[in-house]
Amino acid sequence: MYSRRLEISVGGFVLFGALCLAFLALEVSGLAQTRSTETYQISARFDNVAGLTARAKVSAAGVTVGRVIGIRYDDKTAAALVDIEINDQFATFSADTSASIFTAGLLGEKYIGLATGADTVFLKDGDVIYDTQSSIVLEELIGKFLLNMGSNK
Amino acid sequence: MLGYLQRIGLAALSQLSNLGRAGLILAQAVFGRSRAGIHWHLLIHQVYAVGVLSLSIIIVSGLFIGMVLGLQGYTILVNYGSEQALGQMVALSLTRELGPVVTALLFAGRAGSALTAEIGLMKVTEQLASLEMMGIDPLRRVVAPRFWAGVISLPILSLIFVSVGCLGGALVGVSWLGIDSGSFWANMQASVSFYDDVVNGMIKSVIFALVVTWIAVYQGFDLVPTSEGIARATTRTVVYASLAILGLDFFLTAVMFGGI
Amino acid sequence: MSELLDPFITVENVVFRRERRLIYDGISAHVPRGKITAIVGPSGAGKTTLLRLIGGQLIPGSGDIKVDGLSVNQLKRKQLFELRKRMGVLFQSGALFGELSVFDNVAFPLRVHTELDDDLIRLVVLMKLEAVGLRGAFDLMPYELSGGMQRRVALARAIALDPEMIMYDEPFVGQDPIGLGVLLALVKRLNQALDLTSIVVSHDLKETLSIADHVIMMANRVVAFEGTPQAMRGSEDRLVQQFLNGSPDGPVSFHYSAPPLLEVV
Repeated sequence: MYSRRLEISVGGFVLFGALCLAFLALEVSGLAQTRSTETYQISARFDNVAGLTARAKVSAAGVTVGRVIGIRYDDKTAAALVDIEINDQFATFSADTSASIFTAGLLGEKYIGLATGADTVFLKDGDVIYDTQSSIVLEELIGKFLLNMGSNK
Repeated sequence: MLGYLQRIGLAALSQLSNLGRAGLILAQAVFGRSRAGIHWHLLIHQVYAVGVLSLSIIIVSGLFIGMVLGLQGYTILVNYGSEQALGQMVALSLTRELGPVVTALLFAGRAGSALTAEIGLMKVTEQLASLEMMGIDPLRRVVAPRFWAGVISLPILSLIFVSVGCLGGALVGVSWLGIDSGSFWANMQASVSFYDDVVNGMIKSVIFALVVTWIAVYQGFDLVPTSEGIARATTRTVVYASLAILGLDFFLTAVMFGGI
Repeated sequence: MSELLDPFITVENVVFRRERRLIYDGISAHVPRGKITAIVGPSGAGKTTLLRLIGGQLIPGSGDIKVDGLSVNQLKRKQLFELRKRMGVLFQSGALFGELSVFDNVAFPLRVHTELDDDLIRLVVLMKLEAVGLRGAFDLMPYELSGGMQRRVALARAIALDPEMIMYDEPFVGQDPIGLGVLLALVKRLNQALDLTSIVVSHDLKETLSIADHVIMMANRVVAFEGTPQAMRGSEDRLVQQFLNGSPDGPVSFHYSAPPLLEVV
């Protein structure tokens, strides 16, 4: 029983599916915002990156400017090297920019915050940031707190 | 002792031959040389039967599951002061897991069992045999369009399920529980990656569609041609397909998301 | 007399097993060209199985089946499909496609196997329906027809491509006397008008023998009798006589094999 109504409903079905795909792309996953793929890559050296994961947000003054794309261990310096890709429209980070690892909210993930400095030379593709602040490890914090308490007695 | 081993061996061999038969049916239906190319109107008819007719159950389920996720998620997150993360929680649960899996399970129950029953009935009333005797390959004509219709429809149904679910979660979270609409959607967009979450979910959907439709079609084609045979085959379709979905989901999740 | 007729189908020493049960233990028979051959015998003797073997749906364990000189069990897929276009089959359940109308059912083989345009197909379909007396029902759906009418439509579909032979699988089952008469007349008329070779499998003995030119009786995994209906009635074989007379006991025993009653009680 093949009829026009059938054809139309199938066409409508497929169209509905396409609309949902568009909805998911734009409203749920925010594809449009991250579409610009022109980026440049820099690295930052940290003593401790505990809790930081790949794809973590990189922001400056609270605005997302890029993403973490890789975390490596550098055995020459016994430190962690984090590879970051920054959107091309944010190309004015000074050479003495500092990078710190923060926590977003109480349950939140770690992210990297960049604070630009005074240097007139800007960071470009392949540069490394050395002025870094490692992530706060809870055990060290408690240890420091206990130590302080002890020395106050 | 020996008799016991013999029975296990026989059972294993018969399962192996079942698998082989199923594989042959799949291969012939999908790759067999066809006289007239793709029968478009057969395919469209089947997409209607399998996709369009499942819309109501998918939309209602998606809506309710999204709403439940919103409610349950809120009650847990509010303990940590992280209600803004609700959008992220609902969206990720739906796109990565619940969307593909629940849709596939519903699909197996509704469309899968209907497929098995339909093909089984054609076998019982000798329609498949008469196609053969007319020089027409029943696999190409009967099985193939139904197979492709399943593979096309299930991913579309998944997309619809996830979208409706997210809207349901938003309805509960934003409209009823008072979460700020801006942060709800912004947090969601920030944490849901199109390629890693939505597209991976779609890939899962396609794989589930392949497996469910294959099982449904094979059970219908291979059953004992009595009314009891049809009843048992439809039950088997739903059970095997559901188990396959859940098992495959674990495997796919480990491969796709465990690696991060 | 029938041994001199030109055989269209020959069955030679066919052995066939299903699962582990032996169905045929080396049977030989032939179907003469252009005549009506009846295959009769007790239930479960494997009459329908013989049709499936001739049509190539089943492969014998050993032996040979030739249709018009071609060995069916050795044909490749493509050749088998070509051969099947020359055969028409009327299945026991009619096997009409439930979602197509009567017209579309009969037109189906024409649309799939020929490149005829719609007007020509319409002409052929209506002619075939006319031959079975159902031209007026062309736009009805199968579920709107009685069982007998469904069978006649299935017959029209079976002759749509003008085959050289037709196999009828239990066509008279469940028919009232009028329906029976209609089908009998159709089988005979089509056989003559279209110069067909017809094979009728049935256990409705009296009716079938009234139109058959050649009879093959299957029982106990072998051919119990082969010849004309008159020769069959005159046969002195006890099995044939039991079958013809419908006696409850004889070579086909009334009791299922069991130890003597006195031993069990």
